[in-house]
Amino acid sequence: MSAFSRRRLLGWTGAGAAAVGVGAVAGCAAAPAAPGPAQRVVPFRGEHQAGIVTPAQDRLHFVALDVITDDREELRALLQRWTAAAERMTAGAETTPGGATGGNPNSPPDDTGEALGLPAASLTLTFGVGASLFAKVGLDPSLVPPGLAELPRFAGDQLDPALSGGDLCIQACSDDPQVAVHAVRNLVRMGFGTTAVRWSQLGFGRTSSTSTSQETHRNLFGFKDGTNNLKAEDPDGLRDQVWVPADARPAWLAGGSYLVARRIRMHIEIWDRTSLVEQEVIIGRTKDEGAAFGAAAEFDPADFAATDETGAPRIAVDAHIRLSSAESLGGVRILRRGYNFVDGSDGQGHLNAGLFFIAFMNDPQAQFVPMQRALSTKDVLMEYIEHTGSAVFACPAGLGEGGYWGQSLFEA
Amino acid sequence: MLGNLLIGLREGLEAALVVSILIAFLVRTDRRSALPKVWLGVGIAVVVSVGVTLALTLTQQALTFEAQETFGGVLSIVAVGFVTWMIFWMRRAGRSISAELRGRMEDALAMGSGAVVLMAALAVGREGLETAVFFFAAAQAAGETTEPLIGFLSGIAIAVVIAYLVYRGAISLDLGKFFSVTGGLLIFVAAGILAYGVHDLQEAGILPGLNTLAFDVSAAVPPDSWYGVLLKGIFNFSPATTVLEAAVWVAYVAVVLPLFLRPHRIRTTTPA
Amino acid sequence: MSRRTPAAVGLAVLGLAMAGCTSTAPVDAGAGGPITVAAADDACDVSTTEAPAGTISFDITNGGSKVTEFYLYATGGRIMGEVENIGPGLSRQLIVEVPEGGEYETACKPGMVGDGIRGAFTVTGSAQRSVDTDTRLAEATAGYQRYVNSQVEALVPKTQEFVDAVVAGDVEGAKALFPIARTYWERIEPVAESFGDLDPRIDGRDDGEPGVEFTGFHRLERDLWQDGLQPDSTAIADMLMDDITELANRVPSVELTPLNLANGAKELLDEVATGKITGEEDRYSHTDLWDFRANVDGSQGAIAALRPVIDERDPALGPLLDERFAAVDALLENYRDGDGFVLYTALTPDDIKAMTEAVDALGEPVSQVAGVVSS
Repeated sequence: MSAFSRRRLLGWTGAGAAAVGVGAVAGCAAAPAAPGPAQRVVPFRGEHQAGIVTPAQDRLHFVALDVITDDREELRALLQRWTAAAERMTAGAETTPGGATGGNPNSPPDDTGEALGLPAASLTLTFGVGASLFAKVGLDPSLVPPGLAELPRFAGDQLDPALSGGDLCIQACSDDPQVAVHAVRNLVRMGFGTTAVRWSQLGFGRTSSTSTSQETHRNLFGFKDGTNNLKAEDPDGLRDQVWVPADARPAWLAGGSYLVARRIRMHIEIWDRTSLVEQEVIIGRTKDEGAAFGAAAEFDPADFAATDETGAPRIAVDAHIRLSSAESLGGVRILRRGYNFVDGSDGQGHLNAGLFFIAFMNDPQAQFVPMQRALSTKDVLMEYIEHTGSAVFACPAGLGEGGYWGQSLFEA
Repeated sequence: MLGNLLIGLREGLEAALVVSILIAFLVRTDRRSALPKVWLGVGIAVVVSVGVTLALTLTQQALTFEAQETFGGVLSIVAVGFVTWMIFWMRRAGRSISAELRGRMEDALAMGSGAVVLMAALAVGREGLETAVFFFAAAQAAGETTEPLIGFLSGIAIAVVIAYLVYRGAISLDLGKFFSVTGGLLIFVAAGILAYGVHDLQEAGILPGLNTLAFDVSAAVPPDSWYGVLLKGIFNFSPATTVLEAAVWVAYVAVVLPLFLRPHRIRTTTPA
Repeated sequence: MSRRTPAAVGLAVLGLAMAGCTSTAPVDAGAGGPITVAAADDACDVSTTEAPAGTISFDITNGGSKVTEFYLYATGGRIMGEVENIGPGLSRQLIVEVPEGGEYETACKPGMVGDGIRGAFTVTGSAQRSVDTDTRLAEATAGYQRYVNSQVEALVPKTQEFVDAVVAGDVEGAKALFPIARTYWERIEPVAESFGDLDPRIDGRDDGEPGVEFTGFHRLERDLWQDGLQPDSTAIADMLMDDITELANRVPSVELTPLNLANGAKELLDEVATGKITGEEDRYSHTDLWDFRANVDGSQGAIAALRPVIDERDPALGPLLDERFAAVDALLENYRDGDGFVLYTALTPDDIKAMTEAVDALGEPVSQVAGVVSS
């Protein structure tokens, strides 16, 4: 019998015959049997890693790690243990069977236990490697993918080295923050001695929808974010813009994608003092409906050529949506998957809040760089934001049966 | 294919035989009105077996080995009690018939209406869990190969046919013979079920002596041969029988058979 | 018989079934997943012949043409678990609870006859202890007891020197002796802490608890480095000496168990992580790295005493502990300054991060020792 999460199965209804038994067994079922979206399990293995075109979950815990050993085999062993634990956790199980309470009472439990009884809550764990990893564990320089080239300095960058870079990353997304935190916490713990946390970021309220089945969420500026995002239902767009082609070199990243992460601090107090009309002009959309100027509804295409009665363009030349549009960037699009964050306050009476921007693409230099260049030099929004952290990771393709994180790279 | 067919045949026979005799008895004694009760009992057994199995599957629970064996063993022994009661019930009915006291037979049967449901449920439910679990395994394999499922279902179908033939054969007997033949047959079936239940409890470690064999004729009667399957399916005959199993089998037959065969004391009313 | 009979039967059957309900959610594939058994008419290939005690799952697939059965036997032929009726082409699962480690046997029975194809199967953990092991554990505690005694024997005279310097008003001399005397204290801290009355008097910090008098090492530290010697410094110093002497008298009578040693080794590293790396311990003198070094020494002492038992039960753990202790040692050597260490105030955030990482890396395997020695 294949091993599913019991939580997924309990969401399954039907078979009147089962009703008798289900009622009886409820007394010994370990989890409450309330079906619903929270019970959802996202398959861990597949053609691509989960957590990229997976409909964006509500919560994020992103961690960037440094490798503190030069022993490649030690790292590979950790990746294999991580993969096993990750697969179990995404299915709603403990890191090891009975890991939280079923072990030796004199040993610390294998599993930290705060997700006991919680469903899988659509947990996905997405793995990537940074450019700094290769030299550290003696991987051949020819294996460094071109897309991991350092990003240029953009106007207005205030990057904090302690919030940037990293040898490895794990992106945990879930509909339940506790489930995401539990996953990262346990993987970090397993890595002690081999890896160390460089920085991490909690996020909430997905700011991008990655599926047409999702409503567009709002960022902390109050605007819908991700209306014009690449969607899971657009295979051609994903093939052209997100997935690394099969014939790309180095071959180990074929079918994978690059993850660009930017921690964008928003000066929300200043923004909040800005008039509605100015806010809308800066973005280029209405705040209420989220429709581009000149369009009626959110998903109506923006007409960047349209002019008003005075002959001025309806969507300002420096409007955010114009600068970041495929039309003005020669057809370039990216798959955005960002989250809002509020990391307490800054000690000067302002919230330390903003957007943790995550985007997936197959060529950061040709996609993210021109887009961010245009935005950082022309976007009026730059007055209200500053980029404080930055990292680029290469996320390999999905895993087949028995595969482990980074296998294609370590066995290249 | 054949292996799965024989499993289906064996499990099917274990369940269907008692039910077919029960139906034959009810038909022969003009109690057709009680037939729905038989099907109700069978239905309960099927629904409970399937329900429990499905629920366990869905909740990723499993019965421990001990629990499974205890469950099968206890139900088997309870089933023996009911079959024994049925044997003497039939005997009483037979006596009433030979005495041509129809009214008394009505009385005798009236007591048994609820028992009919139980009897049918126990006969089928005894092995129901194991059969349902097996059925699920076969159904799950159907993704790759449908052979096990087809084989298993064919075996069940053959068992039903055999049970039907037993039924036809039984109701073609004249009434007096009918009672002695079916009663005698049931005694050996019940003894087999009892021994089988004891073996389950031995496996669960509740009763001792699992490895103390009385005889082992596995070489002559392989359990996966067609005749081995029929013997197991009808009489619960196990080619490797433990001493305790053999002892309870002998004890049961030694007690019940003489009781069953003891001459009827027919009270005739002398004409005044 | 009433009309409620069918329901009664259903309930009885369910009750019976549920009585044996165990929550044995099968394990996902992957490391530590279920053991696969490839059964055939003439084969019984079990994917691994060893598993830890507890719930063990087997996934049996019958690739042969005969109906087969799968058994797990304990010694004496006791059945731990079985699955019957594994038809050709089918997969069935056996989930079996094996509480005790030891030697077991797996068996496939193609054709459902005979003893089947047997294979040895080892269950590890929670096995009956050998007398030999008890001896080793006794040696371990005796060895650690000797280590503790040796530290106490040095602690008394070194504290005496420190106290004498304070009483004599020799501030510089006392400052130099302070971290040295504390080294012996910090090495045996878990044992010392077991004396609930002495520990706060000797090693209490000024946490402003009302009604608690601030005495001991840290009170003298504050006087020496921050406030200057106070009128009652001499009395505090004498009291410290009395308490240390009392401690030395009590230590030999402490009953230690292997579990105490293992937990002590872990607690010493917890102390490092929460007190020394943060600079909280020696907040006036900033000699935290002396205490850091001493805590690690003490942890190493306890682990060394337990090492024969660790090697017997978990051969992989010892080398890992060696490697991680060595990494901490190497890191600390970077901060050596003459016979001592640099002050905490000289450390950069990067230094502190490196120390945190090294202690995290060491703390995880050390935390496993208790489970190993108590299994």
